[in-house]
Amino acid sequence: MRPIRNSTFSLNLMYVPALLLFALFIYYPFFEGIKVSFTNWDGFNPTYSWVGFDNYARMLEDKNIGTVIRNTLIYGVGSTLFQNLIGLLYALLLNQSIRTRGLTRTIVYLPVIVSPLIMGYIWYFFFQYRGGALNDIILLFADKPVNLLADPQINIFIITFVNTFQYLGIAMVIYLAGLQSISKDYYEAASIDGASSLTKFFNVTLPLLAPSITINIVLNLIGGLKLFDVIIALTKGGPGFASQSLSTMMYKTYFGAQDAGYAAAMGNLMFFMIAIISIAALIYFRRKEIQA
Amino acid sequence: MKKIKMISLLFILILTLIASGCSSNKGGNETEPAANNGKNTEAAKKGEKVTLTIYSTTNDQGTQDVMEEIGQSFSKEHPNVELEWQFPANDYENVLKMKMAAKDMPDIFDTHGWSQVRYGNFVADLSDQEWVANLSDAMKPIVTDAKGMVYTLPLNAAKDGLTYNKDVLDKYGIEVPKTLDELIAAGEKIKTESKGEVIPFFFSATDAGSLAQFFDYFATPLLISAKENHAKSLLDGSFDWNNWTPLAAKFKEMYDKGLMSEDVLTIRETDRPQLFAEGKIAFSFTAPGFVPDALKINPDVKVGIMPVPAIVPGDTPTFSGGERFTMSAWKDGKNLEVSKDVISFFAKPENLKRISEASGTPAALNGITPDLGIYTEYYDMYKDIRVFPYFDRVYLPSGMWDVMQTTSSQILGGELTPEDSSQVYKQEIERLKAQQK
Repeated sequence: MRPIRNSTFSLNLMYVPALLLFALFIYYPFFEGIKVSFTNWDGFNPTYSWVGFDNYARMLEDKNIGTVIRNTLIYGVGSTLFQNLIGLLYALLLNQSIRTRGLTRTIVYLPVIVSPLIMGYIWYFFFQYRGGALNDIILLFADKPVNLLADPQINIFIITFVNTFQYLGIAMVIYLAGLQSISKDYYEAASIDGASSLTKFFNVTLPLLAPSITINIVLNLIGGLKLFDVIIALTKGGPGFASQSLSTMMYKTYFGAQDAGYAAAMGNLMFFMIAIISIAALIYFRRKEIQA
Repeated sequence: MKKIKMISLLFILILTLIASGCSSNKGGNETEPAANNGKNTEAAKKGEKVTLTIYSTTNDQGTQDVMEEIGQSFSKEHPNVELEWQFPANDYENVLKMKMAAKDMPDIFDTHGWSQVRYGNFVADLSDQEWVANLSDAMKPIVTDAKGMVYTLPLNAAKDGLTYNKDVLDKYGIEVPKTLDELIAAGEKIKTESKGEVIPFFFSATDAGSLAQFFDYFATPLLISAKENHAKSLLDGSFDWNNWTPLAAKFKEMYDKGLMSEDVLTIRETDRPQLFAEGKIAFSFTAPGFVPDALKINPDVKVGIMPVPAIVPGDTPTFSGGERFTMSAWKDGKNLEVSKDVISFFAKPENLKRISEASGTPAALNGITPDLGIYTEYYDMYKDIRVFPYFDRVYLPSGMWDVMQTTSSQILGGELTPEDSSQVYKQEIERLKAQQK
């Protein structure tokens, strides 16, 4: 009989190639980014100088960073909230035996497979001032079109809406899988005890959906906080910095301002922000799962 | 088992840190250039298949077609050489910056006015090429450094000012303005008499290059072209940036008077040809590169070009100039000699003539007289107008274009006052100069 220790060693060797790829494409760029954040590198020249913590100090003095972080949180938290609420509603509806449920599931999921940049442009053509579909409708009833994408109070919510619209299909699919894994026995038992539909939802469905909620919240948060393509397509982060997120600001700082060091510092800020928020959400919702 | 896992993970982490620490560093924080593989150059000479990548900033289809046709003519004479063209349009600079960082430049690329300052470390010296002797007097100091190194072949010359819809100016009885105040007055007249139907000045805050172009154009009449000017102080770093504020203030004045489109914050450059063709734009602060697209929509639209109006009393209008499209060879390219041959082929007078005619711009080498079609009368009319190099290429460090775009967009959005924008210029110039030491 082969010793168990040799068999385990061979098994461990199996994941080393994947780990090496992970190291090459995740760890290596990450540590390079940390290094670059301590320099004044312009992003393309062979030479640069070490500047210590100057780039991080600049972030504290940057008048625009507050707006950018606020927008990032709106995109992340806002998208997550609505994707989960609407995705769950769709899942509950499409878990019923209705005739068109297959087709409806497909239609709701379709936006997920569209490139986010294309999705952004589709909605840009809807909201645009000149010849946009929305303004074509508005002009039937009013004299002047509206320029919603130019309004910094509104355009960030349009961006959140488009991101929500695109990815609520994923939330729906995960919730559907969760709903279908709940045994009907629980509902029968609740019915026998005289529970109403609402009581069944809050005391049976929701607790048993806890794992699906955890996955959806964490994935949606990460996706929303990293949002880029939709912002570029709709507003390019404008007007000014009004709708910039950390990811678009990083892109603009690196390529436009030729300030790779500062862009890397922003990238590290974004990493820690996403890590802290998503880990906190994961811990919170995992605890809820255990309680359920 | 746990111990083996931990050791494997630790080993990979250490490898990653070492790789990261070792990369791009040797004493003075320099990166090593990619090795020039002499073997491949020899292979090319022996007739083995060679593929060259060429990147160009050319945006309009007509000029792109001409350049590709010229490239095909070269390939007919040299069947072993294949040319792969890339026209990244508005992403050109970002793509090239990534390629510079990766030390993976195209074999031939456009330096769009930055051959020395930005691309200087990546281009081969072309001073030994025959066409160098034919560089125009205006172009020679731009593409040649003090040591005689020639950085690029200018395929055509920029002689840029404003483009206007002649039908609109004729309709409202507007003479071509000679000063910025006359231009603003013309805009107000057009706005009033057209009842807001015609946009006097086309700008796009979303594609903010159009805003930056305004500042790049008018910086010359404000600070350089007048007899008493700030050229010296700009070059030696003693310039007081409060002197920039009047230009930013004029820009804001144009916005406050409603002389830009109502949707200036969201309109895109792609809307310009349609609006111009429909007679809904009077002036565009760009060269006429978009006009072919406008003519496709309305072949009867009448186009005019004019020099940049003066600002300082007593001064006269000017053009902004320099090289427009160029070709440089990557000094570390695998097929450098073949790249130089391609560039020399493009430098043939008949080929440069075709490029000038397709792009509607004058030639950059002597002895070439292109037929510039609808623009001929204007280049003839304005042949004695002074041409100054583009302001940002001479007086601002590389990287300031984004600052010009962002601050002008912020002025329109109300985030920045003209005074604040001048201070941002000052800070960013100091940052970029420190970076480029």
